[in-house]
Amino acid sequence: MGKHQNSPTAKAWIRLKKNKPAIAGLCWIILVIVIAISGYSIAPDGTPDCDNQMVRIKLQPPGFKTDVALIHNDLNIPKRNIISRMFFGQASQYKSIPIKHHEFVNGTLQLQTFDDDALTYEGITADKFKITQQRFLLGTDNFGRDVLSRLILGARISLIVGFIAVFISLIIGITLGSLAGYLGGKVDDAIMFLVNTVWSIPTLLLVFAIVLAFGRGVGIIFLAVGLTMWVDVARIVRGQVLSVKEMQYIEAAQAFGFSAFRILFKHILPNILGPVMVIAAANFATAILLEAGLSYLGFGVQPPTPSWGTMLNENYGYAISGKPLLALIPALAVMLLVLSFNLLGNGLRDALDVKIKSAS
Amino acid sequence: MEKKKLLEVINLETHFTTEEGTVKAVDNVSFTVHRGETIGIVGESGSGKSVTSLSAMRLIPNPPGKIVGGQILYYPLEGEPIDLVKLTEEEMQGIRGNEISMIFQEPMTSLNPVFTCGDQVTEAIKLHQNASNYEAKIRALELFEKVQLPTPERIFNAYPHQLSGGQKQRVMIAMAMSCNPDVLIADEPTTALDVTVQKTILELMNDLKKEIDASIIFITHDLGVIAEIADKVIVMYKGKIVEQGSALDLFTNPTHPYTKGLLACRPPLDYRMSRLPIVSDFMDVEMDADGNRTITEKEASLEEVIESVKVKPEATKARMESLMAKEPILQVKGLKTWFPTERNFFGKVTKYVKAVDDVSFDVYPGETLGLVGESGCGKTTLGRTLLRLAPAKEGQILFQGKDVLSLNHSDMKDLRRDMQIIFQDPYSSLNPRMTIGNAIMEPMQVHGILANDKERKEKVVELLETVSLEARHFSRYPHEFSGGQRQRICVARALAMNPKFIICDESVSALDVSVQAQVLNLLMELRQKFDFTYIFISHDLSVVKFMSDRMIVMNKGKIEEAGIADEIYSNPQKAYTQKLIAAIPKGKTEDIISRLG
Repeated sequence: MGKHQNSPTAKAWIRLKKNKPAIAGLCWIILVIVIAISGYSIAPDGTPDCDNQMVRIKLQPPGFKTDVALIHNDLNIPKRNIISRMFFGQASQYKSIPIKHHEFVNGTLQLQTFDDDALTYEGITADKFKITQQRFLLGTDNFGRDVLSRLILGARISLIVGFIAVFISLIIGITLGSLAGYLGGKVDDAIMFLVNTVWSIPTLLLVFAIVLAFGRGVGIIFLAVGLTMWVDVARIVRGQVLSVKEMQYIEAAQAFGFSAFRILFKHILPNILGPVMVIAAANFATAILLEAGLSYLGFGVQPPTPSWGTMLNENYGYAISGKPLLALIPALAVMLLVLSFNLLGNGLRDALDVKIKSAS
Repeated sequence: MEKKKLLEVINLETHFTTEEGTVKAVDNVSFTVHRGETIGIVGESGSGKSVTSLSAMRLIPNPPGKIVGGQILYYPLEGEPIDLVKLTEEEMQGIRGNEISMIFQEPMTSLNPVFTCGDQVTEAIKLHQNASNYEAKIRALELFEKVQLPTPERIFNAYPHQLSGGQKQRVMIAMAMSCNPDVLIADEPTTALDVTVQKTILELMNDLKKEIDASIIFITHDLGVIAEIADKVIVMYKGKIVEQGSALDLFTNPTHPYTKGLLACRPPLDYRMSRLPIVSDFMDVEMDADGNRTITEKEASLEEVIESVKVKPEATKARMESLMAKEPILQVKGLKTWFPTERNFFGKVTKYVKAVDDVSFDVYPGETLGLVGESGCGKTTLGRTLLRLAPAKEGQILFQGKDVLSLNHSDMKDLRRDMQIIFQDPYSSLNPRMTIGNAIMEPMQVHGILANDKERKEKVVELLETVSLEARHFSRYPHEFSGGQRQRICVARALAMNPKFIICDESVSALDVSVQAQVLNLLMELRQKFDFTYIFISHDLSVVKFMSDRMIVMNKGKIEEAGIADEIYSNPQKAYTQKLIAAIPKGKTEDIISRLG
């Protein structure tokens, strides 16, 4: 272990650990990742897309509690194993009816629902229904769905969009940026022309164009966000490569007869990872915001799939009509995650001693 | 004549808090500056000489640094002495610039590039004196005249990038003097300049001191420069003053072994040495667990040590004859490296910078060819062109009969095994993210030297030991080493290829004189051991002369003079060479005596 204690990476990690806001951000990000992976297995509502609608109890406040009658719907729904349940949810075999009272006499189930309707089920056996108590920690939305469950599942979309978009932007950005910086000349001119052209198109407009061209859907969002963010990465990488290229160890490597490929990958890229990590963290935050914005505008994730943006879209009307929490909760979730990534990005910038502006 | 005290530093302690603990950068330092005196503070990097002067200016960045003890008394012409350590920041601003001002090392960065030189000097004048714009301009022009700038009007309206390094340093001096300060602190003001420019700046400072009755604190790592300017000398080592006294005493009769080492390790000009004496010839340093150093002096006088390493002229002559008897290993014919600076509309080049312009010479196996000249003379470009790191426009380079410029990619790769280069900057010539072991091993892997990584590792350890490092350094990173150690690592890396021919491009220029001596000795040892051929490039004629058998003086891309090193030094033919030699600070006692009158 003594061997790696003094490596630049280890030193940066030690400095990062001293930066409390950055570590708080990192912890929050890790927590959100764990929650997002656990997904359906920790969400109170484990149905796919957390879409168990109980309209009779719509718009209930946080902490709301009620009895629910679960009545078997006689559909043959295959049971999933624990892993696939965690990732894809489990469709319910029951129909849920929130109730105040129930009475079961001789195969007849009489229910007084939450909104005071009387329901009667005849010819039902005791094993075809059950009565449970359900609690809605963050209340219910306009369709009577559990907000907490949708929030948990929404984290998935945000993080996946972040990861994939950053991945795409890094792949394209590092490749083009390092080629432009290292080769220079005509290649540089051509790549920078492309970068400047893409940069001059307003981000949202470009995303709209991509969405309109390829159709709506989660996958398109990944691509659209990724394809708009690579320009930042490319510019930063190009600038860094240009400055590292002037270092004498690069000239020394040339004097040793190393190939351009080796110089680029072993000597230049490891030395520009710092700025790249900083911009990746900033881009992660941007991607989350972009997805939320697009979903809010209805271009992104399509209902009933929950995402923080669609939750905002569905509920923003209530922000001013007495139920502000419905809109505030997803907004807060977006804010906290974006803040965490920005704090982490700043921490990385200090720890890696990066002397550039963190975000464009 | 009784001298009045001007600045008195008493038991000054300045500490820096770092991740590894507290560093006593200045440790119990006391000295006195009298009016009209020039004090030279000399020491290697890390000796605390700059921190001492920054403490007097109260410019220590806090955190991490802090003055933790002692007094700095400033005696104004009238009134009570002032303890600068106790002043508030606001009171200190009144002292800075007005009473004590400072000139920094790097003239390139200490002037603001977006303002004209005139603006910057008048700003300083207006800040400290109640002067109108017009008065300030008149005063600035006077100052420019005083610091002997040509065409003061033009310089007043010029931006810093339009001036040469020496001119910028003159503007800095003018700015520092704008308020008639009592004390002028000059922190390595000539280190970044060519010797010829250095000489003129030193002359200027001497003249000015007489004229304005100021005291100068002159900080440098070069005892030679001290001899040209200082009345009194303070020698600092690891935060402590080890010796102080008059310049004459110090040069004729140094008492502390460290001072002896510093004096002896400068490459001599009038005789040849087989190796340079180093500080450890005079003393041993032991460090105990608390970081306290004990210095034990060795029984060796300056004269004895120098006498033991002198080389007789007959030996030099015999060596030259045996070298010249062989066929040249490298022949350069009519080499031109021109860089395009202007192109017309169609992309055709209309103007070139002629960095290397029609240069021809031979290098014989086993010899060291020195290449000397001022900055911008093309010596570095020449070295790079030989290795095809810079493109040649015309000419021929024959290495062992092979035409280097026409080799294809794979032949060139093979040739790189034989021709190596060691760069100037030990801080940027190693990849910071690679352990030094891997850095030395990498060229062997790429070129398929030795059978496997296990053998290569053994070879790396052997190389590390060759350059006086240890096997345990293998998995350390470059930032854990000092400049001198890094330069050794670069040497080891070059050796990994078993080259025949090594270009040393300013390889010791960034090092302190005492560390420079160690690296030069290493290069000399290696030459004997492996029979290398060197091209040794430097701006420092004394270093080139120590290393080289033959020497080429370059000027403006062309060869000014070439020949046997000792002959060129003792009998320079061209005016340019004569000027270059005259400008070297020689540190001779006769010069000090005549200067001090």
